[in-house]
Amino acid sequence: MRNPHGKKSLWDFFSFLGATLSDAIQIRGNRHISPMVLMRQILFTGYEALPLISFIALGIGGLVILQGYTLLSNFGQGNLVHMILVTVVINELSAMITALVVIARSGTAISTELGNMVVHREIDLLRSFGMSPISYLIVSRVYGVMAAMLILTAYFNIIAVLGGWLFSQLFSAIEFRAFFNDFFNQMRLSSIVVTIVKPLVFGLVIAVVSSYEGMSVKRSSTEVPQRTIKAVVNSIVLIVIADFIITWLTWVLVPR
Amino acid sequence: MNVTFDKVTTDGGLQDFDLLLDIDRTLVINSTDEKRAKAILNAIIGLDEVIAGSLTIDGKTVEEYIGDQPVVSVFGYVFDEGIMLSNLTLRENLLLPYRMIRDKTADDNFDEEIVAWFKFFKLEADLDSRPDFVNPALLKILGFIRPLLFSPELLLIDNPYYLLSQEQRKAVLNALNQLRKDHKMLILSTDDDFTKGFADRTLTL
Repeated sequence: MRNPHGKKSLWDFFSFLGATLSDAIQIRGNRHISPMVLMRQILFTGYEALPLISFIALGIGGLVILQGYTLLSNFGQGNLVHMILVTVVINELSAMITALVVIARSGTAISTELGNMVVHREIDLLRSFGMSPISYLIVSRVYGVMAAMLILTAYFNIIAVLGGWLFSQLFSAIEFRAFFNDFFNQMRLSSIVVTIVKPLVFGLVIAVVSSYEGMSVKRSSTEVPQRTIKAVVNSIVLIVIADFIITWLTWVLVPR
Repeated sequence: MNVTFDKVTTDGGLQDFDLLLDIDRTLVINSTDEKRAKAILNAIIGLDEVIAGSLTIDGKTVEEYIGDQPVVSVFGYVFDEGIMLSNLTLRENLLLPYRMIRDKTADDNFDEEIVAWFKFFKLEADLDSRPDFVNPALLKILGFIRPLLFSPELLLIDNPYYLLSQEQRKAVLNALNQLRKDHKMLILSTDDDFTKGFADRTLTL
């Protein structure tokens, strides 16, 4: 991570990504990977974000149904509102909004915490033991954020669909079972694949980018907020790019 | 133990640096250029990267010298400040490297060893406290104890008197005088009192 000239290049990022992935793959027998760091990350990123995710998911699910029904009923196609719920919420919004929440809560926290650890020479301390900071601090966080993203996105989907059904009661009393039958009829293999792949990729991106920015702090505590801002901006940009790529690949490769 | 710097350049500030350190028992580096002296310790333990030149110990590269042994069994680094991981308690901090090289049953021995070292340094501390709530001088002394749990071949000590009160300095000097019988030490000191009171061999940079 040290660069005598202090400037970071794209090569530094890919080298960091390579080291992280290499350590992440060798999880068996790697005594530097900490289950405690992993569990704390899942607790903070996943469990503690549940109330906020519930609130957003309920709102999004309801609003999509409300807007979709208003639009489609003009053409006598109000029953297609489930298709909008699957296409908009399950395929796109759930992973994206969950990722934005995770960036805001955990990406910033990871970047700030690691940046402060560099400033207080805690990374040097680990290295003086012969411990790999990548294995101990980064890999555990990567697995934690990926697991939390997967759980949160699934949870978002459930709450959003429930929210959609609740809001649908405002304009037509659709039976709970009928609503979900229609909903599952609209679900395709591609939606299931996307619901699994996107959160995992987004989780990897958030954890790696935030960790990289945090570890890129040199000596001064004033760098920490600057690096945190970079972590947020770069994570969002990379997630949108990743979203495009995954959606395109799913569209091309997975039968609908 | 011979540590040889041959035209070494590091990212920590050494430039084409030549030095032969013959560490028989204890060697104190007394320097007004603290940054350069720190860079020597950091290069040996690998905190600074050697960009050019060669750094060898008894004719082997540092990696070859360490071989398959845990780093903590070869080098023990005592930082000038008592650095600890702030999100762990003092106990978890001390246990972190300990668990890495010993099996889980070693946790039972840990308490016995810690009590012995606390007596040795005349120290009292609540090990369940977080580092942020503990006096920096106490953390500094725990920083001596942490590497000593592994009986390293070479203790690298950065400014042993830094942060310590007069009373604590006496305790540390006394402890180091006892430890010198069993441990090789390379000490960086900018404190003349320590150098005069402890060193039998001094290298002035």
